[in-house]
Amino acid sequence: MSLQFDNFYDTVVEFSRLLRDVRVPVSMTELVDATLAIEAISPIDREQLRVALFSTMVKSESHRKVFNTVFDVFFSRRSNYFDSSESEDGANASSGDQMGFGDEVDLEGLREMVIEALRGGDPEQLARLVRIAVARYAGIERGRSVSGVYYSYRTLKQLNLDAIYAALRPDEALELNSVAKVIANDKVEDLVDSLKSTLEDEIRRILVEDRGATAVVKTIKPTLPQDLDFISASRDEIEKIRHAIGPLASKLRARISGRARRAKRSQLDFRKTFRESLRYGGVPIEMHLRKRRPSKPEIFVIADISGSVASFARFALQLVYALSENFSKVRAFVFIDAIDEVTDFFSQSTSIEEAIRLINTEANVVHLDGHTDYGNALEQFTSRYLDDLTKKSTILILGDARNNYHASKAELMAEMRRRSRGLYFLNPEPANYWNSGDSIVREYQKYADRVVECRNLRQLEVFVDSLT
Amino acid sequence: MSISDSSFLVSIDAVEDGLRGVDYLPSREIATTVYLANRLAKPILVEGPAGTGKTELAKAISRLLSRELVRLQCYEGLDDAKAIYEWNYSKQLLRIQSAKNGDDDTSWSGVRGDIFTAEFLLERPLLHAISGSDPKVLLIDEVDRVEVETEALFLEVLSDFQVTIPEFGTIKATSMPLVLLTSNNTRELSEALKRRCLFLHLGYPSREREKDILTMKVPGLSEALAKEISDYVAFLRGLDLKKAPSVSESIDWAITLISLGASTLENDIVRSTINVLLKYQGDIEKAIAKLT
Repeated sequence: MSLQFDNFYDTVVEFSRLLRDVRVPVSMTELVDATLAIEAISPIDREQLRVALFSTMVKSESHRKVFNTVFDVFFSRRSNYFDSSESEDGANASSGDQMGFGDEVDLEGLREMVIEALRGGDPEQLARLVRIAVARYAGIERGRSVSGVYYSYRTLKQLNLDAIYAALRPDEALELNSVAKVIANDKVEDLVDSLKSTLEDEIRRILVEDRGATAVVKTIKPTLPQDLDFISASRDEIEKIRHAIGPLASKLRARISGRARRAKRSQLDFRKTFRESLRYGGVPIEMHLRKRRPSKPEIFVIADISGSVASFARFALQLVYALSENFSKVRAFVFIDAIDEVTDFFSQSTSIEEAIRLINTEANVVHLDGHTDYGNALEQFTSRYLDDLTKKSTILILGDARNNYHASKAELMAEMRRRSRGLYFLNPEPANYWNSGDSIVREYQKYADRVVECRNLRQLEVFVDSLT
Repeated sequence: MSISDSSFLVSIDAVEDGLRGVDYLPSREIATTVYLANRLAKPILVEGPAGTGKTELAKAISRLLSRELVRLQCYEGLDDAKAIYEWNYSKQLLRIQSAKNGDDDTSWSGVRGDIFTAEFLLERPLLHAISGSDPKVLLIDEVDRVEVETEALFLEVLSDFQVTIPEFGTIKATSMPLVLLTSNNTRELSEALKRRCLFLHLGYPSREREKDILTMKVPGLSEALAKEISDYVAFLRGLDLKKAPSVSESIDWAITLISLGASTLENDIVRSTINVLLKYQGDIEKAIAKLT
């Protein structure tokens, strides 16, 4: 395997362009560093090349997965940059000749061999077997602009993932103590993951060979955690989003309390003034003020947890949970067509899952029919909690403002706004859907400081940044 | 323009072997990044959860190169007087006083030229790291604790290896330090800072590497137990815990297990010692619940 080095700078530039396409920011300086780094290593070693490019171009761990996807496709062994002497073997292997067995190995036999390779921890053998499996069962059609998920699904279905799981799982009959069993079960997941990723590599290799790296990246369109859509996110994706929320919550705290710190006047810091006066022979020329302790802000979060925003609601509760670790005073309310305070559920439970479970089972959020009713929720909120609002309170309402044609009672929101420091409405729906159908964003827009489109973490971060 | 020609840094393999030699087990990624940092003369921004060996890496590099480790611990409120340099006011005053007594040059210009010299300068870590004839390893620890505005203090040192003092001029590095910054990622660092650094994420090690770390750090630990521990800790990290066990905690656990004479992970011993690994009651309950 050798590298086509003559136009390598073009290659790196092209690579950085692809990264920018998927919204990983790569600056000019970083691009220059990347080329310097490549000169310092031996770029035919893929892993060295990966680290050289990652450490110079990517500055956040949350970008790693997307980087790896782009890297794997772009520098896949079938792309233009590595010549394909090695992977020629691959092409032959699919006929089975090199393996020493031909078409006579049936599906059962192949599955057995895959299981054996997984058990034995033999990645090369696994790659060979996967190559055969893909050639036989994936049914890849050349020239189609697809991401390959379906090919992967088709192959796994033939190999029968359940059977593989069953074979790998530790023998129940064995006299295992449960620590050992727990460990063994955990490893099965890892093994199956390695099978899946080998399979994805192989399919990607063929796709790249077929359509070229750039086209494949554009089809796969890997998404950064901060760009994942709250409403349509899968469980895995929500997990990724979750990891990124923590820093955001502390940033929100800094924004909200930082505002107070700057606004008020402060007292003389005698010690510092005196100490600095030594500079001028004891004459206190510069006056130093004591930094005012940031005031303790209160956050009221009111979240819509109805079905239409189910996955957003999960995220919203995550945010509340992160906030409650960062703010001393967070009060959380959830509603569908009735509202209930759930602050205690968060403080009592040790994990977010437990909190969500408690909220789902015990919070009293259904009044009549379980169809979202913002009006009734606002009415109950103002009748029960209005007096708790002070000029220290910031209200965040999370929801899509789809009111099932109930009365909006927006004037109640005006009263809430009047009593508090600020009221923000975060809406997970795309702004161009607002006010269509039963969405009544317009009504609430009049009284909220702002209604913000908040479909992903990036937008949430922009919102937090704007709170200065 | 590499920082050091030390034979320990000439190749990735040399870095890997060298660090191993000073009791630090690097992954391939760590070794490659350290090698690149030296070759490109760039600081490394090391990020990752607590207890994964970020500070330890800096210490290991300083041991490897036999260089002094200069450490700047960051905290909210850090300023230039504590990070870079400060004028030694009392000494300056004494100098002025003694000039009045007449033995020295008493003219103002003489005194002024005198009191703003290196003699009256107190070196703080950043200045110290670039001055002197022997090169150093500079560790700027927990850089995410300072405010974004304070980060700017580091920029001049990090990219140009120099410090500008208004009364004095620009002090260029007489020796190039190898710089590491660590961050626990509690907030996003500024673009300007990130741009100047190579990025290295120190996550939890693979099972294999953790097993090796355990055998290296804990004398008397059997290979088999080390493997069980690393497997079990890897399993715990896969659970959704409030605080996943760090490498230093798994080392502590291994020491605990050895001192209790355990040779294999039995349920009972895991139950009674798991508080070494997990620090929250909820996490402990969650882990115990899996052992039924």
